[in-house]
Amino acid sequence: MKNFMIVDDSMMIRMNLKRIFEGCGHKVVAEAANGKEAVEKYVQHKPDVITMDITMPIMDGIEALKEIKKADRSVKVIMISALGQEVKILEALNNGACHYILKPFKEADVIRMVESVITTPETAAI
Amino acid sequence: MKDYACISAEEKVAGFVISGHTVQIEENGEYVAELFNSMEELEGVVVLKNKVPVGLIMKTYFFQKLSTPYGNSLYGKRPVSFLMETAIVTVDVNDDVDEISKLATNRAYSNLYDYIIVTQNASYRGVISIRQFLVALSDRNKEQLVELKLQNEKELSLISSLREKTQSVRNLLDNAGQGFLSFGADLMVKSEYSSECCKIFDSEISDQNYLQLIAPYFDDGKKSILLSILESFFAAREYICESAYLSLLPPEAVVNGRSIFFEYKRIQGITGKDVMVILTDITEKKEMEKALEQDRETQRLIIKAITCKSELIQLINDFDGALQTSFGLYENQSDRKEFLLHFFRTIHTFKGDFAQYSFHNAMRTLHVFENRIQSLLNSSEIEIREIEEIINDAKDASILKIDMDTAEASLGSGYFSESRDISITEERMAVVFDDISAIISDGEKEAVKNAYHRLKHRNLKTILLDHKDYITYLAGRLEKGQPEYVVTGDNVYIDSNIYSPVLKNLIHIFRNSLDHGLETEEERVLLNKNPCGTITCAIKRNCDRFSIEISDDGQGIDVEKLKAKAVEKGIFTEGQLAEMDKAALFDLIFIDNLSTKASVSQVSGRGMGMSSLKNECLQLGGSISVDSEQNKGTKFTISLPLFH
Repeated sequence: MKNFMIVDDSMMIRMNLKRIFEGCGHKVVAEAANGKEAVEKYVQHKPDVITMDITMPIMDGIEALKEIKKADRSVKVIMISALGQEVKILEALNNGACHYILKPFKEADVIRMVESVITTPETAAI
Repeated sequence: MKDYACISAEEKVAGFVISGHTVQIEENGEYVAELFNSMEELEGVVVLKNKVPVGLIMKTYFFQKLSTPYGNSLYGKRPVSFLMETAIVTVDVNDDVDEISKLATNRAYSNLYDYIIVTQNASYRGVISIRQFLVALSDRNKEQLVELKLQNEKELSLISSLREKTQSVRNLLDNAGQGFLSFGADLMVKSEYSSECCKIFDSEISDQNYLQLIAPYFDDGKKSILLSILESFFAAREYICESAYLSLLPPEAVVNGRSIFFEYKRIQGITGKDVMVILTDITEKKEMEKALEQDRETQRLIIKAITCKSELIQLINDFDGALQTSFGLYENQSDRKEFLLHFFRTIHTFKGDFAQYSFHNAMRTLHVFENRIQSLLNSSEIEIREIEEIINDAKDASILKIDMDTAEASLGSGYFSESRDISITEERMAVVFDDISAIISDGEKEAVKNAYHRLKHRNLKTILLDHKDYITYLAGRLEKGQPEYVVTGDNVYIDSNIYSPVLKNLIHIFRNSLDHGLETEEERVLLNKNPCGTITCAIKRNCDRFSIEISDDGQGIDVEKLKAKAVEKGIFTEGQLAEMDKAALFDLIFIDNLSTKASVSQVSGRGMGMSSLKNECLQLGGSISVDSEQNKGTKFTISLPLFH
């Protein structure tokens, strides 16, 4: 069981992800509707895994990712992105995001991604 | 080889030590002579003084001494110290064997075969007979040679079996029908790749830069990101990230006329991680999918052509007429923008109409024209030449030809031109009915008049139900659940000719409901709504007017987005919007060019349909209004006068 934070400006997406994560036996400890809120709630709740929308008002997902990673390198952040945002996704990965999910997503894909992020060791065996 | 060198270097003296024979320094020569006489093979004896070797008497040397004149008497009774060689060579039992060879061979020729004395902690331990040492060494060398030979043979067979294996793996890869190649951080394609790669790229690819190899097949936007992605991949330290990077690489491209699917995998190379690329030719698969989709489209088209023949003929004629009207308008219209807007609306409306009747090619062609007109409208300076180009293209395009030909290929040529229904003009029909009325009684006249009306009039419910197929089709395309489509209320018979401009434009309401209003099945379940949603048309008759209420139970109109769009397009200022009431804000939806959809799809999003619908209602002396509630749904109410 891991603690999750869901960051997305769409309530619908947040509800949807929350249902999926809880269905897998995880706990959603915080939700945020923009990057600024995400950074604040991160400090409060210290989740293990964060799903982060890229395009959001006030502070976008990439800025929030940078802020959060500055505070804690080990937190796992999965970006949520629309199709055609490869450049943004690349920027996020280069700034410490560990993977991404494309919208619209299928429940099974989300579950597979989250499990692989949780179970894969951070560094490759050399 | 290396193994043996190690063994010999580390081998200790101990392995060659024999116990040997010793005498104490006090013994005399006769005792030694007895020893040599009793043991023929004895090469020499070591002289000890309190366990410590002090001298050596070798047999040959001893008898040489004794055989001299008086030798026997001279040495026989005297202590061995007179006889012994004191320049002895000693080694420690733990010394390396190398040491023996060195020490032994550094001696005078006459002493070459003298024992080497072995001590342990300075006390006597034994001797090494050079003779036996050489024999042992040569035996060992022989063993080593045999071992070496075996080893060599093994290696050779390994190499050949490796070659065999490489070849068979290569055969497997070459015949798998897929291209396999790999590259490391320098991006140079490694020499081991399958032959299919050469076929795909139409050249040898080894030692080429992978990016340069594939760049010609991607557009500039993709090209620029390819390098960044690969650089990030090779720099990445986190395992999970690596697969994320690779999945960002574009998976498909047309290479030398074939559709190629690119699959990237991380593999462990000798010096670090490498990327393996699996190339699959999916041209046939794609063509098959396309053909299948075309078959489906054709089927829908034929069903429509059969079930809605008369409407389709009407639509085809209307379209021709509308195009002619537009072209005529261009001749007489001085305001280019005004003309283009009108032309755009016409094309947009007919795009929707033809979609309803599964004229997919026409729909696509019209969509292209729409795009061209739109970009002209967006440009600051509209050139006459550009407008005329579009008009000429529209004249030449035979926009409907492909779909009509497709239908006629199944239904017989001339299907759309020679209707089996008797078709006469309205004026002609009026004359016929007048002629009939002139010869019948007054009582019968009423019945004839009704019959005449029935011929011209159709039940509005039936007309509205015709939209069901289109809604089903559209919901499928938008990957929404199939909504329930309900038509209820009063039976109102109308002359479809009069109302057709409004009725045709109703399609925009359905499109908006499906595209913007109704949520996806998943979202609806979350909101405790029934998964598929409902679109209801309710007809009310009220004296000489009637109304159609079209409602959905979707998420409602997003007023904030409408407002933002209105400001963005410069139609209203925020101050003006702040003073508007709810109804006025909803009315924004009927303004040209105002769509809250972020991108324009073939389905909806131009924000033109709603304005043409409103125009047509007003033309007929009717009205249209909209009401909406967040998460409850949206309701359009159209009120029209009833003409007979």
